[in-house]
Amino acid sequence: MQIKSVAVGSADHPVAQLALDLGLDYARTDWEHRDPRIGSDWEHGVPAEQLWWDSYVVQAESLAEARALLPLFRSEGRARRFVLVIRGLFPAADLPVWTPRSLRDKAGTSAMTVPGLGLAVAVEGGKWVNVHSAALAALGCCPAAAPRPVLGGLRVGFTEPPASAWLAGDSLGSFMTEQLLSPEPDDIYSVDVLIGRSELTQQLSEQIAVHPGRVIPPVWTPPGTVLPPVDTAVVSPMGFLPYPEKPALALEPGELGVGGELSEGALAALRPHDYLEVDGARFGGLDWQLARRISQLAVAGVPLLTRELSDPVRSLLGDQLVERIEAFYADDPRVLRESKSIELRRTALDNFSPKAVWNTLLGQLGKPLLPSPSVSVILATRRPEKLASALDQLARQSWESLEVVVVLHGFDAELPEVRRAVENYPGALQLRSVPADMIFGDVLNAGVRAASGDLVCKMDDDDWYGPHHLRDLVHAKDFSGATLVGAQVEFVYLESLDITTRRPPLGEQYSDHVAGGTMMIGREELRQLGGWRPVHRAVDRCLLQAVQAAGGLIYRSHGQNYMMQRHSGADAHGGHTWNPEDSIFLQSVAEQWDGFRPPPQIGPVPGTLGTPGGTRNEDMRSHFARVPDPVASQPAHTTYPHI
Amino acid sequence: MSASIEEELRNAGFALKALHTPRRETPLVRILVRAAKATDLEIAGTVASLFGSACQDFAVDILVQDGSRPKLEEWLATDPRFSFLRTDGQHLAEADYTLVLSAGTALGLHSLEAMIDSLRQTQALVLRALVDGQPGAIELWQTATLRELREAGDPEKSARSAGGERWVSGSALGLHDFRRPKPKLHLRKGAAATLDLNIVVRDAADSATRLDYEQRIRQLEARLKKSEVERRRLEQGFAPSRGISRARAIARKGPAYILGRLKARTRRAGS
Repeated sequence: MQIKSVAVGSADHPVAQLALDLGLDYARTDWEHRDPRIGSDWEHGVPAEQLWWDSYVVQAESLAEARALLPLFRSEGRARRFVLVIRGLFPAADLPVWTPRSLRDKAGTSAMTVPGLGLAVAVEGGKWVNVHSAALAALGCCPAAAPRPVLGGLRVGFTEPPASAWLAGDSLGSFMTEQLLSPEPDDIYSVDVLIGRSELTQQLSEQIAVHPGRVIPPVWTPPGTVLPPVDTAVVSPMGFLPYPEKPALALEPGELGVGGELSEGALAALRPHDYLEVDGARFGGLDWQLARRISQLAVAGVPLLTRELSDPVRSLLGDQLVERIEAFYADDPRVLRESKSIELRRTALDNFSPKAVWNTLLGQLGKPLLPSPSVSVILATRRPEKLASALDQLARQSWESLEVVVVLHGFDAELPEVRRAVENYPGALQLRSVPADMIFGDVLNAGVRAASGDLVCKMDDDDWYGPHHLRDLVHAKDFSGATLVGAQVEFVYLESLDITTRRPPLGEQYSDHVAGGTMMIGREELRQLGGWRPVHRAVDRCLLQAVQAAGGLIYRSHGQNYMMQRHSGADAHGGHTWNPEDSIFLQSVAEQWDGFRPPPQIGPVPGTLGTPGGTRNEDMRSHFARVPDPVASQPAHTTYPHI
Repeated sequence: MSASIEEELRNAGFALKALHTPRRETPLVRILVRAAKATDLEIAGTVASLFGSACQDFAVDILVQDGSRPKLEEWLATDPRFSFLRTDGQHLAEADYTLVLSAGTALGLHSLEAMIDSLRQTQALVLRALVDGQPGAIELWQTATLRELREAGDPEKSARSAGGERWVSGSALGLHDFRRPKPKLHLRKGAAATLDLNIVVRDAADSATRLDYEQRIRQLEARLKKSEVERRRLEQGFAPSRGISRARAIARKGPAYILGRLKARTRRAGS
C-alpha cells in the first residue's frame, strides 16, 4: 500500500504550490485534502493507530485558526513529517524553536520564514511522530500561541468541526470521531463534556445500558443564543495603544467571514486606530457573526463607536457588556478612552474568557466549576499610621477570593492604630510582626510563609490602587501565561509640586520590568524561585531577574490601577526603598495635571483626610504668587476628574 | 511690495526665530535672579553661564534685597545688561519673556532657546522647571500673559486652574546646579532636539574598559612628563647631552665599578 500525504486548510491554496514553496517532493506521494469545516473529512473508519502519513502539512491563516485546528488532529495518526504554515506571519525576531522532550528521540523542530508565504515550522527526524503531538510542538514555537489547558483540565469534545471555537485553543480538547464516541468496553471516554447534537445523548445512554459502570460525558448542544469563549491567548488586551496615531476605522460586513472570528493579524491592524466604528444597520442577517466579533474586540479592549446594534446582538453580548461598549465618545480624552477600554476588557473577560463561559455551562450541566485562584496580598509596613488607609484600599478590591497578610516591620499589633485598622477590615487578614532589624527580603518572605493563596501579590502601604487592581492582574496572569504580572509606574503624584504626572504609557505587553508594588506571582512559582532575596533593598529587581533566569515571562498590565505618591519634605521618601529626586519624575512625562488627579480607574479616593499634600510647598510656589496657600484649612487632596 | 529681509531668508531656507532677530531696545528675556540668600559665588556662577549662552538678548535683575554685593557690582559694572535690585522683583519690566531662577543655577549653551521653544510648543501659560540641588523652581512666562494674569489676581493660581502650567525637568533644558556637572543628556525635546549632540559613554563598571582607560592615562602622563623635561632643557638652551648624563651615571656607581669596567676593557683590547 502506498503511503499518502495530507494537506489541511483552505482549498484556495494549491497543494502543489505549497509543496514547492516548502521544498517538499510533491510527486513522491498522493495527497489527501482536509477541509477544517467539513466533519466527514476527519472520519477515517479506522482507529488512529492505523493511520500513517508521509507529510502532514497544515496551513492556517492565523495563529488563532491554527489553535482552533488542534483538536482535529487527535485521531490523525502518525506522520514522517509535520509542517505547520501560518500564512502572512513574519515574526520580527527569531522564534525560540524547541522540541518537547517526548518527541526528542523521534524528531526535531525547525522554524523558518518563507518569503511570500509566512512562517513554516517543521517537525521531522526520520521517525514517525504523532500528528497531534507534532502540532503541539509546532505551535509551541510561537510563545503567545503556545497551547496549554486553558479550561483548567476540563476535557471537551465536539462532533462538528465548527464547534472547536468552544474550546478556545485548549490543548486537551478533542474532535470526536466515531471511534472515540464508541470506546472499547474496558476503555474510558476521552472527554468530560461533549458538544454535539441532542441525539448523541440517546446514543450514549444506550452505551450505559451495555456498560453500566462507565462514566458517560454529558452532552451539551449550543443553543444559538450563547456565544463561545474568546481564545485569550491570541485575542487579548495585549498590544493596546493608549495613544493611537490613526483616525477611526469602520467595520465592514465583508470582514466578518463565516464565523466572525478575529485573527491576531486583524487585531494588530486595528491597534493604531483610535476607534472602530460599527454601524449595526449594515449587518443585517449577520447578528451572530457580529456579536461574536464584538465579543472578541471587547476582550481585546478595542474602543468601539457603535450605532444601532440589533436586539439579537445586544442579547448575545449581554446588557453589562453593551453598556461598556456604548460608553465611548469620539472626543473622550486619551486617559478616559483608555479607562473605558479597561472597563470593556474587564467585563468582556469576566463574561467571555474560556473559564467564565465554561463555568456558566458547567453550572447548567451540574458539573463542578473551574476554580478561580485565591490571592494573598503581602503588605509589609514600617508605619502603623499608614495601615488603616492601606487596608481601606484592600477592602475595596473587587476580587473576592482575597486574603491579606500584614507584616508589621518593627512594631507589634497592640498599637491602638493597628488594632483599629485590623478591626475595621472586613475580610480575611493575618498579622505577623517581625523585628525592626530584619532585612526587607526576609520580611516579605515571612509574609509569604503565612500566605495561603494560589497567587501572591505585593502591595505598598502608601501608594494608590484601583478597586479592580487584583482582578485585572488575575486576568492578565490567566491570558498571558506569564510567571509574573504587574504594572508600570505611569501615574505619579508629586506632593511638593501638587501635580500628577503620567509617564509615556507603553500599553500592555511582555516586559522585563514591572513596579515592585504591583507584582503578582504564583505562590508555588515564587517558592521555586527561592522567594524574595534576603537583601535590604532591590528585592523586586532580584525577583524579576530570577523569573527571567528561569525562562519565565513577565507581563505588564495597564498602569491605571496604580499611582505612586512621591512625598514632600526632607525625608521625602517616607520609607521607600527607591528615592530618586523629584526632577526624575519630570524627565519623561507624557501628560500632567494640576493637583491630586488619580487615573479614572482609581477615581476619587475616599478617606484621604489627614494625609499630607493638597497644597504646593511654599518654596515651589511662583515668585509672582501673591496670596500664600492656606495650608491648614484646605482638604488634604483636591481630586479632579479627568473629564 | 518687496519681501522683507526675514521673508527672503525664509524663502532661502533660513528661518529665524524670535530670539535670532536683531537686538531691540527692550530685551527678549528679562531674567530675575533670586539671590537674597545666595553667596557671591553662586550669583557669579549663574552670571557666568549667561555669558556663555547662545542667546545674549537678555537683561538681568539680580534680586539682592537689602544686601550689597560690592565685588559683583564692580565685576559687572561695565555691562549695562546687569543690575542689582534691592526690591522683591515684583515689578514687571519690558521684555517678551520673564524668567525667574535662583542664584547658583547654571544655564547651558541653548537653555534659553530650549525654554522658550518649550513654552511655545506646549502652549502653556508658564513653564516651570526643577533643577537638582537648587531650591525652588524656575519659571518662564510671556511677560504680556503674566501682566494680564496679575491684573486678575494671583497669576500662579490662574495658570493652575486653567491647566496652563507645564512642569519639566531642568536637566532636559540643560539647566544644572553650577557646582554639579552638566547634564549628560539634555535639549532632547522640541526644536532644540535638532541641535547636534555627541555623547560618548564608557562603562567604568567594566573592568577591561577601566584598565584600558587607566593605562592610557598613565601613558599620557609619562609622555607629558618626558616632554616637560625636554621643554625645560630647550628653554635653558641645553641641547640633549647624553654623554654627560652617562658619565654622571657611571660616577654614581662608585670607584670599584669604574675600576672593574676599565680592567675588562683592557683585557678585551689585549686579547
